[in-house]
Amino acid sequence: MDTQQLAKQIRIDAINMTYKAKASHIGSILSCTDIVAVLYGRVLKYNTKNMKDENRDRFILSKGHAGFSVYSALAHVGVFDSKKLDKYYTWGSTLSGHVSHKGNPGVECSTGSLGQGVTVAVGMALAGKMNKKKYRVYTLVGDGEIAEGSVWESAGFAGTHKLDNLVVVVDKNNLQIFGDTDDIISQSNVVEKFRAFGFDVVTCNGHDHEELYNALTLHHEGKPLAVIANTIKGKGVSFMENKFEWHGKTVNDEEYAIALKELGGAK
Amino acid sequence: MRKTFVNKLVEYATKNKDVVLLTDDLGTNCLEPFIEKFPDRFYNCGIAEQAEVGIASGLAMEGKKVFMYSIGNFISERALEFLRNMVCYHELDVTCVCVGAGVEYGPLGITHHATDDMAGVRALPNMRIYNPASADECAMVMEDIFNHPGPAYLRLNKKGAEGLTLPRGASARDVIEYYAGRSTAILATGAILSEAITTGETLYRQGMQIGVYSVPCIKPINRKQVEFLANKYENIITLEEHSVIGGLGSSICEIVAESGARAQVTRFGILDEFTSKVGKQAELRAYYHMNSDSLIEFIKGKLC
Repeated sequence: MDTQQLAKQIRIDAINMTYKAKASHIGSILSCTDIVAVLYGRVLKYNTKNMKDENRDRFILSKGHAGFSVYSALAHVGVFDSKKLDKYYTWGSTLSGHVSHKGNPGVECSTGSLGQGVTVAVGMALAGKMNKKKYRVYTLVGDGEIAEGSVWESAGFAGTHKLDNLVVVVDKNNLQIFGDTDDIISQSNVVEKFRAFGFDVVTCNGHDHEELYNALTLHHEGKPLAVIANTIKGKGVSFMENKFEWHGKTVNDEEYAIALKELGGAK
Repeated sequence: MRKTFVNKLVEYATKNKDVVLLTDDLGTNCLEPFIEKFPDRFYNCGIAEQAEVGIASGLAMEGKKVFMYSIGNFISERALEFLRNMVCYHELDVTCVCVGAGVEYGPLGITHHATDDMAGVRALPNMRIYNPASADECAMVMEDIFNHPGPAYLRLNKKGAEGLTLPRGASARDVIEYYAGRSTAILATGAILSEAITTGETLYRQGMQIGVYSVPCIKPINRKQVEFLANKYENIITLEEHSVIGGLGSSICEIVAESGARAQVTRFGILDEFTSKVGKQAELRAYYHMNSDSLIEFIKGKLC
């Protein structure tokens, strides 16, 4: 699948649906859209007819507040009807703001409380080794999220047990709710940190699809892999880019029209 | 009880290849039979309870039947939100095995007293809570857990109320009658049943017949049996080595209040305070009014 087209569609859906539902987290969704698009469009192996296929690759969005990106990706790769997205965040829908598996085939794990999904991914990777399966487990964490101790508890386990079927992707946009991540709990040494926990580490431009593809598929025998994806919060909408406020804000009518136009979604 | 647990687990794991045992670096002098027999199905997650619950969840999502061994409040309270969002919300086949229920670790201090663990865990949807009183009850409860592909919390002590004969036909989710009484009954959960038994036997010798019952499954509690007993007896005393908030006493009060049963309920347990005195389990039980002397004094005051 054309990952650029998928990313564009996710971004347009995200601005439409967060505007319509008055939902938050648009900045976070736009930040990781390219990562999610490259994963679902090119990297992950799965069967849209059977998302429980035991040999599928697993993906857990640990930064669950960007859940819409996964819903949209799953809709556009054909796992569920894209009409379902129209009810996002509203009564009667199964699509809660933080990603949920209930009623949503293809969502491996419900997350939202940070630092949890990554630990489950480690358990899935361990099970893959125990069961001698070839699948790979990908998980996406935010750089604010990795202040959670459980991220490092499970990273230590993954490194110790050499879970080379595990890829932890860090959406490193350097921002969190109150401002710069480096001013709050600094993650500027994230490469050294993952390395110290027994990971192979690669950095890439988190909006360049070729770089992302190469990083996400890097051969890393004997060690888990951390992909530090340098990203821009709010990527694709000029007035949102690198603005921490867009973690929680919703666009007004005027902002919506501008954003939609910039994303190429205006009719 | 701990030995019964591990022996039953080894027996079951021999038949079920999906059984995996995790620990957060606890369990020496207990887990060795499992580790020796199934070294490739045992993982020490280190002193990292949150990751342990997450890893257990990932394993269970892949079809494993996971047991996590820890000290009560470490896994139940440190990792409560992981139990909530991962194990319970995803309805996973994960059992938390918590040793040192109540004040068993006595002089080690309050950080090692599991005295409010059930309160948090009991509020989690899909979670079962087992608190067996003896090795026999533990064996019975383990069978129930083996047949239950969902979240469970098992609360254990080293030594329980031993030497009792399980009534014929007793099942893990029943309220188990050890002695029938006339107007007053004690409903106890966990190893502290021994204090209720001593109370019943002492008073019996003094001409008073007190009912003594064990509740090895706090959730789902057998509501019908509790309602029956709350209509049969005028006085029900609940006894637990746990806060009176959120455990057995609370469960019984909720049922009695909602059903309109006639019994007056008195809760024995820890009265919303920290067990900060330094002493052995028996000394702490005595100080916090959870032993047979306290029960006997109360019952005599009520009935005589």
